[in-house]
Amino acid sequence: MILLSRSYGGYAAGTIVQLPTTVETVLVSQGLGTTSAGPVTPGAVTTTIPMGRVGIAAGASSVVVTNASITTESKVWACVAQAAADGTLLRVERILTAAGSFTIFGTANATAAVAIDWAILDTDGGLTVNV
Amino acid sequence: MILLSRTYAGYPAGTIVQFQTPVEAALIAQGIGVTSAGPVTPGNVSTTAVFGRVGIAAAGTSVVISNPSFTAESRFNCYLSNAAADTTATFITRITPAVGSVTINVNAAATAAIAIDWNQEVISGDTQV
Repeated sequence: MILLSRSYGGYAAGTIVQLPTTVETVLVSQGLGTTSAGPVTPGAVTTTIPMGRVGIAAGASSVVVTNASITTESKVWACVAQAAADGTLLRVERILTAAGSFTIFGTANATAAVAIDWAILDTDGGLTVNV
Repeated sequence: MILLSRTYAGYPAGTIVQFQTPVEAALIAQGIGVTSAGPVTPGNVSTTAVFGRVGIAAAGTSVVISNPSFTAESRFNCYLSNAAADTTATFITRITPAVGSVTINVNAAATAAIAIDWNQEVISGDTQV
């Protein structure tokens, strides 16, 4: 993961995000961020990247990802992505797409921050990889 | 969403289905359907599409999507997509592919109709066998 010192991919400076290792390496080498042990900064995010990791904050049960490429008909893949299961937010239960954003709903309010991996799928069910 | 006035992509006329916005616009322009606020017509569907939205009717626990391109080895991504959580059918428990169909099961009988977005996954890249 990387702590961004400048905005990248729509993510705000000062946030910890997860990008492909090769991208993180380049960004670190260019001084756009520093390596982070994570976790990702929990809460709603805005990004232009079609895949990533978000965090549902403790006490919350959902998170919004804003991405201009999303439509109401988009298909999204998302799942809990952390080594230890949370005590209350056990799984992704619903995903609501809208024009410009989607919302991921978990089982219940999280006991602690929960990491969620997600990806926007293309119409063939494949991943969009242009990061 | 669109209320089909003619069969399209395997879906029968008279059903409400969801396609991508450009497709729906083209169908409406050609008089093949009219815009609908939805929800999609619940129940089993037959289609040639590889992604879409289906509904499980109240009291139902599963839905079957029939498509001749599906095999027992097909893989699917499915999730609940109803705006408000149902009180009983709250998550998908199983996705069972078969030759020509896939069955999606939820954890309990739905209190009201629920929506499920689905798509068939492409097997590609380094993991292709």
